[in-house]
Amino acid sequence: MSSITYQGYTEQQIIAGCVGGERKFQQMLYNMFSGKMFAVCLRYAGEYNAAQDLLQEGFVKVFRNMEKFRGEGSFEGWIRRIFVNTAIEHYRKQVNLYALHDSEVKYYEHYDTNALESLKYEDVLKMIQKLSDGYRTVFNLYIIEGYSHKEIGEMMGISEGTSKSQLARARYLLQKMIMQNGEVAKHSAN
Amino acid sequence: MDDKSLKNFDRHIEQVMNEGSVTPPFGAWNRIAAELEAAPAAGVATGAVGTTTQPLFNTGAVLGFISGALLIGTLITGWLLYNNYNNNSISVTPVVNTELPVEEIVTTTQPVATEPVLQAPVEVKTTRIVSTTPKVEKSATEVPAKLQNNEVAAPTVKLPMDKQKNTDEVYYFPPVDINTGTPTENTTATADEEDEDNDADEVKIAKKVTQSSSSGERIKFKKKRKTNWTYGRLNKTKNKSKF
Repeated sequence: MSSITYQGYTEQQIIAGCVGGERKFQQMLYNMFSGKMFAVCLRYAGEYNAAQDLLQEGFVKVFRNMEKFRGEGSFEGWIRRIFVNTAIEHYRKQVNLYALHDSEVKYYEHYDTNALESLKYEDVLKMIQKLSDGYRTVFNLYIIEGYSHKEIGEMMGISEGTSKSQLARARYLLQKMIMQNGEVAKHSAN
Repeated sequence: MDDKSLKNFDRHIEQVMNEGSVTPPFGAWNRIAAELEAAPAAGVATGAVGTTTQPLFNTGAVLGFISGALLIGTLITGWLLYNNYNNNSISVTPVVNTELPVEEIVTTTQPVATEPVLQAPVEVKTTRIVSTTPKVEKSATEVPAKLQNNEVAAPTVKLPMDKQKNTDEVYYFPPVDINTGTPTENTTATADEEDEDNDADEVKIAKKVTQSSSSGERIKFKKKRKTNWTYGRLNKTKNKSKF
């Protein structure tokens, strides 16, 4: 466990306080991770209000299950996993994923690497939020969270091939958006 | 697009997104805290509910059970009362003595042999039932076949037939001369006089036997006694409309 301190309290002390149900330590934990976790929620949620709901639901789960944290891994990773699972549970019922045929999967072969590197966080977030729920979820789980297609398939209740095809489609749409964004940037610069 | 460029694309997106941190909206913590406060309160409430001893049956079931028991009790009581009412009109079956006294009389068609008989006499054994009617012994508590509601069965005691017959007839002791001790010939006592002694109010037709020139007996009927006898004042006053 890392020795992160916040307002003079170590992470262990804050966790112990949260396990004891002390509101002060719970608020400290919220202040420590709310920014990052809200970013996670925004990635999985299609809109801002839905992300707020996910944030609230995720933190309530964290505080209620605090005693289950055994200190074996990163505490931030544990919290992040709770938020990801909350988002997946939220969208699993809504998302109706299906496998795409190879003819439907297109790769945008010529994209500008400079346009990609010039992208900021907010720009990428907006592009990801424009994706449909299924593409967005698989893209987040594979690219950002680092899950394999097999794990994604188990988590989402879909096959591995479906996860792959959904990811390929999400990539194609994002690259297309990046190219369009780069062209717009070029035109605006000229 | 080759794998290298794909990996480069993925890595760049991952870095950008992981570095990002968005400040949550103001008031988000308050909503979370409110939900956390509401949850333990609900837990306490549920715990309090859980610790209270629940009755085995709810109130509706108890009320239903009581009403059902009352209904059943009423029905049973009514049935018993109805049976008691019917029992009053049930006739008591007389005790029938099925043991029939059978007299066995053996008769023979052959005359009584005074001489030695060579052949064995054929004996016809007949059985005659002397009394075929069973003796019915009515119990002392025998009641009529059916009684009305307010009637009470009174035991009818029947005397033997011989005694009953004797009581119907009037027996007159013959007059006996005290000096000699022999019965006298003059028997002039009539039933009419006897009746007048016993019941003076009763109007009867008396039979008077008188001797006439004719050989047969002549019956002379006595006229009805004219009396102003009534059934009493009470009946008169009560049932004026009838009179």
